[in-house]
Amino acid sequence: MKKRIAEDRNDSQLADIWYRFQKNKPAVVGLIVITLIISVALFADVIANYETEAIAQYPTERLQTMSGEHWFGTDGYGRDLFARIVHGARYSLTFGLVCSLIGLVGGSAIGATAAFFGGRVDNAIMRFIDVIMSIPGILLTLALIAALGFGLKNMIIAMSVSMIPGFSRIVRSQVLTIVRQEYIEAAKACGVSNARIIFVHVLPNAIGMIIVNATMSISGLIIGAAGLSFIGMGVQPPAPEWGAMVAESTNYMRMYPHLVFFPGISIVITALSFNLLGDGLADALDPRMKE
Amino acid sequence: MGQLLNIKDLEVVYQTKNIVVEAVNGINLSLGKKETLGLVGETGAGKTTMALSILKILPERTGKVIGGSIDFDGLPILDLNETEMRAIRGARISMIFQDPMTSLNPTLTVGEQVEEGIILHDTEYKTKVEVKSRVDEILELVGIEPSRKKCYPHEFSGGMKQRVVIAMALACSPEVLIADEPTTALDVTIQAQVLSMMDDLKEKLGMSMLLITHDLGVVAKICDYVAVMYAGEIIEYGTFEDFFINHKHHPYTKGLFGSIPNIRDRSKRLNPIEGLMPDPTNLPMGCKFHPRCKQCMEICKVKPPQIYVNGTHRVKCHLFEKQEVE
Repeated sequence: MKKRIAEDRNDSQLADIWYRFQKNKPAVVGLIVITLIISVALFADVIANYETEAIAQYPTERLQTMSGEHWFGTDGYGRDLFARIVHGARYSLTFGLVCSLIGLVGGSAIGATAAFFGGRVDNAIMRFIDVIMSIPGILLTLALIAALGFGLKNMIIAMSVSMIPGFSRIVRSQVLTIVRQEYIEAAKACGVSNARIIFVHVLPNAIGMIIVNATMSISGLIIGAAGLSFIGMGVQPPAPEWGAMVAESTNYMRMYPHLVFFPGISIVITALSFNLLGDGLADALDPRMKE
Repeated sequence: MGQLLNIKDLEVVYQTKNIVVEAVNGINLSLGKKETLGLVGETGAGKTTMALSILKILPERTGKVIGGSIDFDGLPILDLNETEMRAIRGARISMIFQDPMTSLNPTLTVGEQVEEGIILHDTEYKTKVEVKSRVDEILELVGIEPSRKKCYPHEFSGGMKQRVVIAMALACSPEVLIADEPTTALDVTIQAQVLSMMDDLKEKLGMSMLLITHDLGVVAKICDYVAVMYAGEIIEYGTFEDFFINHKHHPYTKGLFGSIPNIRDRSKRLNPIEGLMPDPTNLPMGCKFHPRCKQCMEICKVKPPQIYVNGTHRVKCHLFEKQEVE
């Protein structure tokens, strides 16, 4: 093991975090897989044409198994499964990343407001959050979609909104515990201004926890989005969403299990990778984990 | 009086919806230049509350100063606004907190934390190089290798952390240093080191120091004046000599001295003061110590005692009024 002593350590905090992160091998694997999936999603149009390969139907080529021409075979309408999965990555990643980002920003704002102002404001906000949290997440999302109507934008709105209460609670509790720490009192005794206390002393101590929770929530969002599409409340066919693909293929599952297997395993691998990454980040962002 | 810090009739309460905790009940104290005042008392006597009110950092929603005044070098502390107060905190009056384990920010390096005060306040150290060299200088002063300033607090031991906390407090060369039980969280050998270091530094930098402690040994070692606090009041005040040579003491002070284990005394049991601190939400009538006092008289139960003065020595007890009359 590399022994590092204080005297020759001139590298930045980022390098420190990377050093701790790369010692967690499963997390590194997660990061590599995520990078791979993201690049596939980014270059989806280069890999396979959306209109001609993922959407257009070829009844003569339906229900083929794996071959050199169709790597993952074809589905019930003769569409290339590989092309559809590649384009499906865009949906899953968009849901995961965008919804967790919106939920994070909204939740942080609400949670931090509640914690800073305290008293009545805190009470009012948190009781409202409690009310929302008493509704199961998936039910809330379904209700919102029912109210707003189908569509990608509405689905993102619905899923983000149901993320906000959870994040508000996490951020609030983080900020509350940190604000009561003695080093915040010590900072006040040093004459540090409130704004500086929030940005230099409170947020850096909370940010690790927040990032970790956001990363972990991505996998839940991806599975949630797939679930919504599976029951027909999410992305509508013929769009190549992984959950929707599983749903379409259930009719052929007995004879052609690969039609369910490939989109299913894509969901699992993506969700798992984000969880592994989140786990690694949790350790890496905590300076006390340093040896 | 020409003193640096004057506290007059200070009264502080903690207020919540249903309860009023009377933490500090009319305290008079003064601290001269280059003096060390030891503030002794049981847990919950209001020592820390008093210290926090000097810096005006009482818990915002609950802590309230309801009476008295604090005067620092001609400035009425209690009337200053936040901006004016911030210029004083850390620069002219700074504070060392009780627990070094929690009074450092875990996400900033030690150097960054020492440097913060220097950058924030209008000190003589303006450029980056000057600030850096000041950080090195102050770390060396408290006995930490300047090369270790890039370390995070968790890489330091308890004693080292307390040194860092002291370095932070000293960074801007304050005129008054409030040390709130600086050695409570440390073990005995480190305690001795840290104390003698603080004593040295006080001499070197010409600071005044308000040392809050419940360790009489510490008081004996470095204090010029001693104040004993009980239930938010100062019940005895005097010079070091008054305490350790004079024999006329408040029964509570006697109890405090009596509860120190004696190495030559072979008795098996310790001698604590019987009973507990009175509930600060419901303080007793008359002398606040009377329910625990072995020399309690009828008058103690109804009338709060006057202050008996003998030179520099002041005792708040009915016992001595009587003696004076006799």
